[in-house]
Amino acid sequence: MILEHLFSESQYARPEAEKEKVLLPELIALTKHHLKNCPAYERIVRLTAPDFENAKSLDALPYIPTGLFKTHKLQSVPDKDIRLTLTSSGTTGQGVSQIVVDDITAKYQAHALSAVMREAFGTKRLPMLIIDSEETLRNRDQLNARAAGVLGMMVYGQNPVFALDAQMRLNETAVGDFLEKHGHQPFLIFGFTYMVWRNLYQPLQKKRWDLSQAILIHSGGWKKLENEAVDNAQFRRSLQERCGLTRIYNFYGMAEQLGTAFLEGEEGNLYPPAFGDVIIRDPETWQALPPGKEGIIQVLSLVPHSYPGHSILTEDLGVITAIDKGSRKGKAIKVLGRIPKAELRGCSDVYAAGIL
Amino acid sequence: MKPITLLLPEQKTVSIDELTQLLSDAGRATRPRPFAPELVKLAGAFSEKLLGDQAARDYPELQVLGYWLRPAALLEMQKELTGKPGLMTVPQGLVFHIPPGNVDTLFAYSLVMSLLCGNANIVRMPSETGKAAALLLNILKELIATASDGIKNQQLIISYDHDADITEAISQHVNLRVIWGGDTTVNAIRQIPLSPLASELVFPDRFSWSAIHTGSYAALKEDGRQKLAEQYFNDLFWFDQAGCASPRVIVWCGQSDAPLTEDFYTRVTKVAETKKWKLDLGGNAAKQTRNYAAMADQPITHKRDFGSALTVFSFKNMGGLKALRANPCFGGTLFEIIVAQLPDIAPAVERRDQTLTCFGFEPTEVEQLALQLNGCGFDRIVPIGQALAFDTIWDGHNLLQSFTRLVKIQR
Repeated sequence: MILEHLFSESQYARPEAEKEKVLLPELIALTKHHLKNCPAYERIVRLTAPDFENAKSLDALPYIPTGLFKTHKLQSVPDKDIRLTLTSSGTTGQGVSQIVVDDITAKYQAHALSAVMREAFGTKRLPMLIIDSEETLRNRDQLNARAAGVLGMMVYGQNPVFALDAQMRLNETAVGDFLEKHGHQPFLIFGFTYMVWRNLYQPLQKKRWDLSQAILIHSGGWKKLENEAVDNAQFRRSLQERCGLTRIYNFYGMAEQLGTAFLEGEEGNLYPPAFGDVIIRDPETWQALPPGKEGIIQVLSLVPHSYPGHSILTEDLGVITAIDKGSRKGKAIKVLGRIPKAELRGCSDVYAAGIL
Repeated sequence: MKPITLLLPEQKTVSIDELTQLLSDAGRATRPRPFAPELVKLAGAFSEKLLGDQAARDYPELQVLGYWLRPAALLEMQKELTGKPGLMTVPQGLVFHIPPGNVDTLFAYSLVMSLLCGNANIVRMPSETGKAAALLLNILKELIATASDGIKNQQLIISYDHDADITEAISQHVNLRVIWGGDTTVNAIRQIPLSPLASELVFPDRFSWSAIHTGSYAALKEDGRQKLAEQYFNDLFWFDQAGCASPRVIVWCGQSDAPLTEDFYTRVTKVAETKKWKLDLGGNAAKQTRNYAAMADQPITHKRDFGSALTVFSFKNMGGLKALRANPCFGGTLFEIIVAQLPDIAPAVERRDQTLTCFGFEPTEVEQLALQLNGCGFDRIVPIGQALAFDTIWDGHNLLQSFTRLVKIQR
């Protein structure tokens, strides 16, 4: 099928117009599938985009806000098919997103992530250092987004090593041993952006480890680092200066579209993969905005099969920075941060953990 | 224990012991009589200041408050409170006000009414308030400073982070506790004991409706329609439709007439655009999510968008309104139903429903509805444009009576 084909090919080769032509009929078919199997979703689509089957462009397709997953369990497959439920950990008084995943979706998520990661470090399994604690992975039926992210990434590593102990402190012995064994050839580091900064970079002040062979993959956004005023440029510069780390890839994604990662390319731009796309919408008129105009990020993906998350309006602000420019084709975006003062106001835990 | 900030009579941090000392002083002090000349004069000066102050004039809600306290209105209130021979109206004593965060001016209504009734007062300011509340607080501060010592020392405004111990310490000293909702606050504070001699007045979350007689609207000329749209705009958008009395449901009574309703909604939207009413970014996103939740849950037959301000969802069956009360939309979303006659809505009305704003009905039709409900919903049935007009009769209570007690004197 087309999705498997899109997974297997180069992720950034197709110009936007051509990409939309491939995605549009697939997304229409996926909308039909969810509409048929999820009554709440059907009620929404009948009111917001009754004519979606005749959509001529991606922006004419229906979407739902991610916030809806916090109040509704949206499901397009029978209960018996649900393999696990992903949650984005909320704090008191706030809802928790519930994403139901069946075997098909789990398989797609894994293939999707592989397709994107292949662009960052190829297909060879490399030694891997995880900037997290093994404790994060307890309770695998009810996975929070951070744990799901770690588990999803672990498969790309050879004998992954956890860099943090149960108290989230840097385990210097474990990291030292790892570097002694693998530090002289390419290896992977994966972690959430704020944890890489706080739990790896900052403690490294004393130790001057050589990480020049590492490929760092990180995600989660900058909000948790707001107080330290760390942005992408400073993050990169600091890691390079302190430990020679130059191959750094940020990616943008979320629990509601696990696997559909937007990988960082030139100039800090983020690119949707071949099986997904992005639209920026005006927060008042909800119309699609042209490049250069800031608005709310809508993400599209062919991955979600067990829940209607194939077209969702995020709670993030962004801007399209380029279309078909540079070495990667398609749209490039920059994420400008969280929508201020939304319903989830002041809830940084949801943000940091909810985004992968 | 968390720090307590005293805002009135002077700004400083106080300990719980210092606060209880202030409360016990205020509780023991001699009180003025309800509507004593000094109190009326103070309220009048407050009104004058609100209507005259340059900064206050930028806030329509402060103008409304100023107008509400104008001398003629104060006289009316005083008349309302005049007891029968043999019954003397006296203050409750020390009143504890817990106003909501979403209506900046409410604390002042509550405080001034209680003050007029001769009470000593302590107000717990919400943790997050807008600019209007800050301005109001400053004006109050200046004003209270001019009052006689007895009155001055009996009016306390404080703020503190949620802390049941502080709330309990205060509650033990007061004679009346007033909780201006919503449900969560009422439930939380009700757990905290009051002195056995005290009573409590609570205002939980409410839900409100509006109704238009289709025939009467059709008969309106251009200027009449325009005026009604402006009044409806005030009801709907003033508190971003998040007030208890803000209409969430619109009922059209009579023949179904889509072009006519469209004419009305378009006009309301135009008013919103002219007045540059807008939600902020977070508000827009939250409104969108709420609307999607409603679409996911409710038997909605049509969705109509009027500009970015107003969304109208049509219902065929009023059963859907039940769920709506628990999770109401805000920021410009209406649920529309069409009925033949006003009393037809009675089966869908619940005790939680507070205000019905109306246009174009015969008084008998409105009365018939109220009779049929007989207290099972709608504490106020008022003309469109009056939804948010605060009154001494609120949520079924006569507030002036609630802020006072009666002494029986038999000869």
